[in-house]
Amino acid sequence: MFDEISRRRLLASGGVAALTLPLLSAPVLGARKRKTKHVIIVAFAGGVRSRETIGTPSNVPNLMRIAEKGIVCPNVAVINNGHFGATQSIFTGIREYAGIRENERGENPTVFEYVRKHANVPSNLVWLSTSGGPQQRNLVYGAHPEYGEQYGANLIDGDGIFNEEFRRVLDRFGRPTVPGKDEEIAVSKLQKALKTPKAAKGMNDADTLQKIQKYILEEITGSTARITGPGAGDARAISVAISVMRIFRPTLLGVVLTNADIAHGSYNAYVEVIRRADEQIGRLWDAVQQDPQLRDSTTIMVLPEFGRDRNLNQRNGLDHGDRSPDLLKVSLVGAGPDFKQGKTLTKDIRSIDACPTACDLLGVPARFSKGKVLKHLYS
Amino acid sequence: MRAAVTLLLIAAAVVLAAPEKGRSTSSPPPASPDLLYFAAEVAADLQVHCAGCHSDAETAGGLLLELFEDPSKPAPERVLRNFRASLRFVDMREPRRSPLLRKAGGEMGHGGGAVFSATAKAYDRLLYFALGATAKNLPPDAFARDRVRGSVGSEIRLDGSLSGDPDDDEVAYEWRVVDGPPGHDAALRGADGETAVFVPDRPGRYQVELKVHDGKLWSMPVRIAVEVPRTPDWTAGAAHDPPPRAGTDRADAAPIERDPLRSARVRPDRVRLLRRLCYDVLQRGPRVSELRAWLPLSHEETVDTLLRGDEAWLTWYEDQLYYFLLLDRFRPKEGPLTKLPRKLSMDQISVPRAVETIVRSQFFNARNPGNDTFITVVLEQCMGMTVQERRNVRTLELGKKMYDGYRTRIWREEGDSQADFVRIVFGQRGAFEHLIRRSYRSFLGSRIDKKQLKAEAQRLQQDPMAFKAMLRDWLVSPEYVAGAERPREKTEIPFVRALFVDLLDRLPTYDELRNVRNAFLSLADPTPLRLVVGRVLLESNEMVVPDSAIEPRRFVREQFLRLLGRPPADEELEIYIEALRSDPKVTARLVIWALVSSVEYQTY
Ligand SMILES: [Zn+2]
Repeated sequence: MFDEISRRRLLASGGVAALTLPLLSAPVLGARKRKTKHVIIVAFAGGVRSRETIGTPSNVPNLMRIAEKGIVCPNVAVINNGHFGATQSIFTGIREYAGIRENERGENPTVFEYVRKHANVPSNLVWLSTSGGPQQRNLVYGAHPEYGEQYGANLIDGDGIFNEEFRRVLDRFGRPTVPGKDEEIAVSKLQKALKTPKAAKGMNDADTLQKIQKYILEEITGSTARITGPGAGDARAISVAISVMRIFRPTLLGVVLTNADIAHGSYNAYVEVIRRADEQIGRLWDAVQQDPQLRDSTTIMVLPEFGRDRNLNQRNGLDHGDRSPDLLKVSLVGAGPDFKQGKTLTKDIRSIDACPTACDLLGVPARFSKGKVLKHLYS
Repeated sequence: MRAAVTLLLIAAAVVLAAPEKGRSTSSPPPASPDLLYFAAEVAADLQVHCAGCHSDAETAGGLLLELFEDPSKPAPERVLRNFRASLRFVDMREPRRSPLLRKAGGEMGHGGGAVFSATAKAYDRLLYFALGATAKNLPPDAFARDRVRGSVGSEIRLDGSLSGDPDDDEVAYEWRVVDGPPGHDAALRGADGETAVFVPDRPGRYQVELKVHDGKLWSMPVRIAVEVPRTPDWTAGAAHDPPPRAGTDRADAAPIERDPLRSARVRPDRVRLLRRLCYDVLQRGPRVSELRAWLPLSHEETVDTLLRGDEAWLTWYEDQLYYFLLLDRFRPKEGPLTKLPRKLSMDQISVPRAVETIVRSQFFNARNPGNDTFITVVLEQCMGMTVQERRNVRTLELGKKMYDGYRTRIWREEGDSQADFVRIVFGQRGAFEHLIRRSYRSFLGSRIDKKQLKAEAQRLQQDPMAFKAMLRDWLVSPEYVAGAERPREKTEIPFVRALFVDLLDRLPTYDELRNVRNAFLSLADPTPLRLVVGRVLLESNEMVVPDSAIEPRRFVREQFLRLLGRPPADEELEIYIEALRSDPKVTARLVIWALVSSVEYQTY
């Protein structure tokens, strides 16, 4: 916590930002040679076996539709290191050993930080939409001294904010009024009089803050809050992602799904969650295809963080811990202007390769990633 | 022997009559209604007003009265029957609630409507009858003001001296608190005196009841509504009705020269430290009344006061549930776990043992299903191990075997069940070390020194009850005191709790905390949402806005102290007072909003 504050302080004093931004970011954009201008990474997490996705195409007609336009990699090696750590590995390009219940920033920079820092991309163009609660917040930036909060992604966890319960809390107290001009002036006069040490500017500029605030206030009462049933969290995450796509047209958009983990208790519910997520991923893909600004310049990659055990447990569910190929090998489905079309690529790759590949597509280096750029996917 | 029998009889009488729990056993039981008083004073009224309908079984509705042939000379057996019939509609414990009275007064569904009005003499006689009046003795009258105001922690003087008895008997007093906000524990001193002192401990509406006894009969109780506004702290003195006598009702407004908040010598470092301590232990900021109570104490005394209270352990417990992510459907709603905070504050269980109890619970089990998840999470969260590291894989696999029921040895201890595994883990030095490591980080915001960790873990393993003493040592240590100089950022839970206390003078309910916290956690940058929620609370009905005009200097000063944890600089004070004076837009509410929406409020 100390670190965060001191970093903010430093930022506020103009130190880091003023020194590093122009030096590192300027040359990068000129070096771009890919057609991709936007990347979407969907971590189809919660533990999803290939057996229920590309192994059963009827479960995932939309993923298959994307695969037809792009590539399928059925041999993606993963490690079984807890949902969070494995998901984090996708975004950092490093095998992460975060604990299952770990709720702290990782050590390594994320794909979001690489893109924001090296392509000099503002916060409103780098987003992560998640389900699954507070832990996911640690995916948007790490504690690496050269990166960190000032290069973090904006995050919305649809589960936490667009739900009936939060809306009811607000409703019980009544809706706030919008402050008038006079009031704003009076408040700012009083606040200017405060002898507080100069503080940080925060992540977003005023314009972005206002857009986010407006979107949130609309959505709290909107349709996303009314999504229910198994897989509702994932459906919300994608629904938010579609809105973010529409409002901000981000350079990099991450989506984290988690509901498939219902498999611990029920195989059938797990398959149901997969089908519903596939449907939503289809909607996201269609939203991109319908937007002329995004259609020909957006690359999507969908992959789970790991699979699940080979055999059912006593509850007729599927755990994850048997070290079987079902658990440790998953598949990646992708499509985009720089990718091959309609190809299945059986070469062994790793989930940590997604981060450097996304960076390469956007023309930035993933400096600390241990993964490889998947050049063989390119056409 | 004889004394024992008498005691038993008295006890039985008290139990039989025992009106409500909490009534002191020494107070006399209510008297039974008297037949002779009924015959002399009530029977005739019932003939006139009631017997018309109530003598007919079809319209009697349960109270079947005899009609007197000659009302001036009724037959004794008919009077007796009417007496017995009426008796069934008298509530001796709460005479005023007797159906006989409530029906007659029209308060309760009654076919005949209000046949007596509550001010009529006939009503009084009926009431006296219910109270047990006899021809020789009428019940006494209790009298007190029916409404007073005060503030949390203040002493409110309640005056019953105008009570009396129509027969001029001496009266004894009995005061008691009959209602109050949920969870209150208000104190009432001098409950058997002509005047009593009431000290509310949280805002809301209280009802205090006064009854007097003339040696034979109880009076009707009178109720005093005590209003304790949500945020009256900063105008405590002004919020009162004019006092009936000099010196009463204003006991809470400390004399100016003795109010620790007013003293020009309030040391900024002391206020800052107090606020830091309050946030670290209670996860919220201090109230003005608390600042007033704690400022005169030494830092050590303040630490002791906080660690003795229930709130500290309730906060600690919630923190553990959050650490183990036992939230929502995994959150214990009842059962033994919910009693942990109380047991901790009463020293009936040690802190390490309380953590183990949580881990052993069905909720933890449900949260971490399957051998792999369960064993991994226990090793990670209770031992601080990185399970994926090669050297720990063996432990994980052995643990899974034990969980599945196979006889296995881990750390030289044998077991063959999930429970054995947890027992073995909590016996390890490593478990104590991890608890100390994470507790130290959460209270002090930094990592504990290795040497200290070893020593503390050894101490705790020998005596798990030593946790509190250890925590105290940390909080009074020079490092902790020096650390208060560096502001820490409020994380989501303390931010939500503080916002509720600072604006509504109450903690959020669990649902409020959960939902607002989750919403805050759902954004990488919660700033816009923090402001929205702050504004929602500020503009809600629950926010009581103080009148800053009474004493603007004091008002501004107290807002700075409680919201920012520092007294205002002279220049700030002057600007704020001037703004309140000259700018019609600048109200008390706006001043509070300016401070709560400031960047400084985001830290503590
Ligand atoms: Zn799982």
